[in-house]
Amino acid sequence: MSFLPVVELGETFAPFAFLRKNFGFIPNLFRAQTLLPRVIEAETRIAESVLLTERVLSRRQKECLLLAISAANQSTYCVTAHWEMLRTLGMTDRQLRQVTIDYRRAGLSETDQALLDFGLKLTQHPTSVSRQDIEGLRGHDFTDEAILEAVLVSAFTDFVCTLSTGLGATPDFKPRKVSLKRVAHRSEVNPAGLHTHDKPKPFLRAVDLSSDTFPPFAFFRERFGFIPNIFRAQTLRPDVVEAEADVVRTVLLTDDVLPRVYKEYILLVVSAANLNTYCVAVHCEMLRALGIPEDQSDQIAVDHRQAGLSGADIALLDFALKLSQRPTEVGQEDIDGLRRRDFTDGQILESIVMTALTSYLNTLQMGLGTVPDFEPKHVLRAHVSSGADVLESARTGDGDVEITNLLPTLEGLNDRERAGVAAGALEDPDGDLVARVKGGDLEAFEGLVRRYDRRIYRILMSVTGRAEDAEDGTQSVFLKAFEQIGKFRGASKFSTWLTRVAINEGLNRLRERKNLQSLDEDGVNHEEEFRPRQVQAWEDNPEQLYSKTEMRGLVERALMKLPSMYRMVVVLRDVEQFSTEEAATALGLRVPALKTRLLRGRLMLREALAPYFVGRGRVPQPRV
Amino acid sequence: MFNCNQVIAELANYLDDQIAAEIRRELEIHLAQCQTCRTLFDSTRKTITIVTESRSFELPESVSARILERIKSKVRQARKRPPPKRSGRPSKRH
Repeated sequence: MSFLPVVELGETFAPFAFLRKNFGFIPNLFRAQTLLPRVIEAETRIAESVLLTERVLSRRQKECLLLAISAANQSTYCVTAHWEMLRTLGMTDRQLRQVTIDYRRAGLSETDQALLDFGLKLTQHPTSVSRQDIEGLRGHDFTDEAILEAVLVSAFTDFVCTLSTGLGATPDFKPRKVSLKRVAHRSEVNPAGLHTHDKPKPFLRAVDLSSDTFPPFAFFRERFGFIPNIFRAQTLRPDVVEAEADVVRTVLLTDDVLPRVYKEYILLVVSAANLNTYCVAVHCEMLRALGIPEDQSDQIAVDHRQAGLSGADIALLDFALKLSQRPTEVGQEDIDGLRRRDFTDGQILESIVMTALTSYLNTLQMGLGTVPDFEPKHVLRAHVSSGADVLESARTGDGDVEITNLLPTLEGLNDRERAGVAAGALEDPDGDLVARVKGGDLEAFEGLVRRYDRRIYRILMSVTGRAEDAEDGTQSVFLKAFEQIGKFRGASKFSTWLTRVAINEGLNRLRERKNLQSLDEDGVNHEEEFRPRQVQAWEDNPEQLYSKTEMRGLVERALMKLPSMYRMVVVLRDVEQFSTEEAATALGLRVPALKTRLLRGRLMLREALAPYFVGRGRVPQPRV
Repeated sequence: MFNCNQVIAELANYLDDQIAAEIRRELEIHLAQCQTCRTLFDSTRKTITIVTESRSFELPESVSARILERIKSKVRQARKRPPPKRSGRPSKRH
C-alpha cells in the first residue's frame, strides 16, 4: 500500500470515521501514516476546513483545482482520487480527462478557467504570482474570501501531492495515469507578474483578530513570541487558521519522533529551493531561537552539504529536497537509504509530512503575498542551493534519472484514452520510425541513429566532458534504446525519451569516473561566479572576430569551464534548441529550477567568453 | 523601478522573450538608464547567439560512422540470440 509499514488503528479512530463519513472510504494516503496518528488527526482537520467546508467556492470548483494541479504535479495518486470525487459530483470521464490535459477545453465556465489559471500559476510558477493576478480574479467577481480559498486549495494540493509521492501511497481506485501531453497555457508558462519581497501589504483583505480573543494567535504568540504574518493574512477564515495552528502544534512543535531542529532544517532547505524568501527568513529565525548560530542556518539555506552537518543529516535533507524538487524520481530505495542511516520509520514519515507541510506553507505565502516578519537576507543565495541537485544526485547515486518514470503506461486508460495516446504517437515526428523498429525493422532503427547520433553525442559531451565517454556512451544509449523501445508508448516524444536515456548514461559514467572529492571540486565557487564581474561592452559583431573553427574551440573551452549541471542545461537549451519545458522534462527538473540554472549557466559562459569579445570602452562595476 | 538584481533575475525570461509587458516595461526603463545592465544584457544575448551558432561538441563524421557500424553489428547479434525467458510477474509501480 505504501513505502512504510501500516499499523491497525481500528475503525473507531475518530479521523478514520470522519473520512469514511465524508468520502465513503478511508483514503490510502491516510492509512499510510498510521505510525503517527496525531499527524492524521491534524491533516484531517486541514482537509475539513480547506476542502470540505463550503463557504464561497463550491466543492466542485475546489476538486477541479485539485485535479488540474495534481495533473501538473504528475501525481497519479491525487489525479486518481480527485477524478473519482468529481465523477461523483457529476462530471464525465471525458471532461475529467480534458481537465488533466487541457482544462481550457473541458467545457468549464470562464470564471472556473480563471480559477484554474490562477491555481496552476501559483503552484507551477509561484515566484511570478503578483497582485495583478489577484486583480484578475477580482475582475471575474471573485471576492477576497473566494481568492483566499483558491490559495488554500492550491497549497493543500501541493501538500497532498508531496505527501502521497513521499509515502508511495497506492491509488484508491483504478489508477488514472497522468498524461505528459498536458497543455501548459501561456498564462501559466509566461509569468504576468513579478513576486517582489518588499510589498507594502499582503494581497487580500484581512480582519483584525486579537491574541486575547482568538486562541490560535495566543498560541503563536506564546510559542514563537510573535504572530507570523502568514496566519494574520488568513483571518477571513479563522477556522482554517485554527486547523493550521493544530498542525503547527502537533507536527512542527513535537519533539518525540523527529527532533524539532530537523523539522526546521527541512523547512529551511525546501523553502530555499522554492526561492521562498519569507519562509527562509522565518525559519532562520526559528533556528536561532533553537540555538543554531545564524551563520550556520545561513549556510544550510545556501548549501546544506557544506554546513558542517553529519552524513545522516545531509541524507535526510537530500531526501526532502528530492521529494520537493524531483518528486517523480522518489522511490522505495530512498526510504531504504534513510533506514540504512538509522532513521526510524516514524522519523521518515515525519520528514515526509514536514516536506509536504513546507510545500503547503510556501505556496500559501506566495499566493497571499505576505510581508516577511524578519529582514530577509537570503534572496539571491537561495538560488545556489536550488541549483545543486543534479550533481548531488550524481554524487549520492540516489537520484539517478529514472527512465521508467517517463515511460507512460496504458494501464488504467479506457479505449478512448488509448486511442488518444496512439494519436499522440502520430504527432511525434519519429512515430513512424519507432513503430517500424517495434515491428523489427533494423533499417528504421539505423534511421533513428543517424537522426539523433549528433544530439546524443553532444549531450554526453556536455555531461561527461570527455570525447571517449561521449563516443562509447552514444553507442550504449542507442543499444539501450533498442532493447527498451518495446516499453516506449509515446506519451513523450521519442527524442525527449532518448535524451533522458542519454543524460542517465552520462551521469552513470561521471559517477563511475569521479570520486566524491573531484565532484565536490566541480561544484566550488558557484556563488561567486554567479555575480557578473566582466562588465565591459562587447564588440558589435563578435562572431566576425574569429573563424568558425576558432569560434567553436573558444566556446567548447568556455563550456568545459562550467560545472556539468550548468553545461547540460546550456547545451540542451542553446545548442540543441530545446524549449524550456522540453529541457526541464529531459532533466527531470521543474521549470523554475531549469530557468535558474540556465540563467546562471549563460552568465558563467558569458564571463568565460568575455576576454575574447570585449571592446575598448570600460563601464563601472554593477550596482547590486 | 527595478534594481540591478531584479533585472538579473528577470534576464532569462527577457532573453527568451517570455516576459509580461509590465515587467518588460520596467526592465527597459532600467536598461535605458543603467549602462552596466545594458552591457550585461547585450553581452549575454551575444553569448547565446555565439553558442547556438558554434554547434559545439560536433560528432566527427568518422566517429559517427564507427558508432553506427558497432551499433549495427551488436543489434544483429542481439537479433540472432533467442529472447531471454521471463519469469514471474512484472513489477508494478505508479
